[in-house]
Amino acid sequence: MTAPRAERISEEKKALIAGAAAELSARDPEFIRYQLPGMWLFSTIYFRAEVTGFDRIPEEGPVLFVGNHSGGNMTPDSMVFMLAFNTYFGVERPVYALAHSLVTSWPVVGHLAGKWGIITAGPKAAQAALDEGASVLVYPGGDVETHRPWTARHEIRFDGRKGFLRTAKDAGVPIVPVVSVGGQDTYLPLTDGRRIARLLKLDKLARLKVLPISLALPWGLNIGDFGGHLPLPAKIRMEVLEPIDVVERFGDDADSDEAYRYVTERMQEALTALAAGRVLPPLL
Amino acid sequence: MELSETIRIAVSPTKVFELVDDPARYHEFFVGVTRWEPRSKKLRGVGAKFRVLMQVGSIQAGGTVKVIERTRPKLIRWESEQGIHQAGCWRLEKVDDGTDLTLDIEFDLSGGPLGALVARLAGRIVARNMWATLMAARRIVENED
Repeated sequence: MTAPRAERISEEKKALIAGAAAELSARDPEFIRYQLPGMWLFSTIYFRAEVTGFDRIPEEGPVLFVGNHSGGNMTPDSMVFMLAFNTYFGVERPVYALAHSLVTSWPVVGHLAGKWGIITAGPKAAQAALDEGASVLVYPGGDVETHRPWTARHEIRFDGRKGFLRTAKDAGVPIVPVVSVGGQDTYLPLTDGRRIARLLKLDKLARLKVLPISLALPWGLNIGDFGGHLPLPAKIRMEVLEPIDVVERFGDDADSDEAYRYVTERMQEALTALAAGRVLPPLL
Repeated sequence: MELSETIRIAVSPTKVFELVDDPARYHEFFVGVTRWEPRSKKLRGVGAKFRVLMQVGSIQAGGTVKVIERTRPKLIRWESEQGIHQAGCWRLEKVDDGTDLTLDIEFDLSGGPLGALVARLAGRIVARNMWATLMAARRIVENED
């Protein structure tokens, strides 16, 4: 006999918390509310962000936001999105963002990230959040995409990762793509250093596929971006696209190569259009 | 942060009240408000709920508000139930040559000293929008038959 839904979710949560993968209860709405003004200053004054398309997000129910990731380890796009979501829908509507375990395992940063609803990336963590009725933000390209070189700044680079499609299929939730430009202008990424990372076996040691080399403040030559950097005040433009119901569109093949191509091409179209709106990068 | 703006309109309070009591027309004159949509069967009056959003800098901020007081043709007051803590009201006062229409908006951002700074910055944006709103309302009611 199948366990009741609430009981099943509770069991899943217990199992996941043991792996520190889904500290869903760490999200603190009042902490987020307290932080919003500071985030607004960064977003509005420093990055002069323009955010459009939030009216395309369903007013209720869980969705899987799928974004293109930029800005190295500082990821201003995540900050702008989390601010925009929490002011648009209110901190009462839960949203979780999946992040690399290096972020969530830092002693102080990981604790604060948890309060924001940032959880360690993984399909089970995403599933647990969606099962609770929350929305989830995932960056399938992860470290590979956020550290892509400046010359590839307007490319969707998911590196063939299709886990997000399986998550949407299993949870039966729509995918809502989110694209943004400007993040790669907040520093100057020269190379993602994939070959060096392979040689050093960073993937096995720290789940890192890249060892980026960039020019960034205050370091000058910045190898790895492990300590982050001071982002330049580049203008961030973000657009939320129409939801895609991959199950409705692709049925049992919702996690197929065809579905992957459809979602990434749709995002690439929008990203290219967004980039075309820029007159003089990086500040305008 | 408490904000208040008043404008004199050369028509009766009853006619001004007709406009501000009709949320379906807010998109015509409520400047900066990107959404004011019903979230209850009741479309106006005490108990009516609305999904409200206002463009403030880089983002839209808002939540759900509920009308808590309505006295025809003098007052409509609302407060937030979800989202940004806010409250507001339309106040109408009869004067010799028409109506003084006042729009009050109050919001609380929390966030300590940084929140206070942002409230001041956002307050300037909201105050300008409020004044533009009153001018638009005056234009509408003074030019309608």
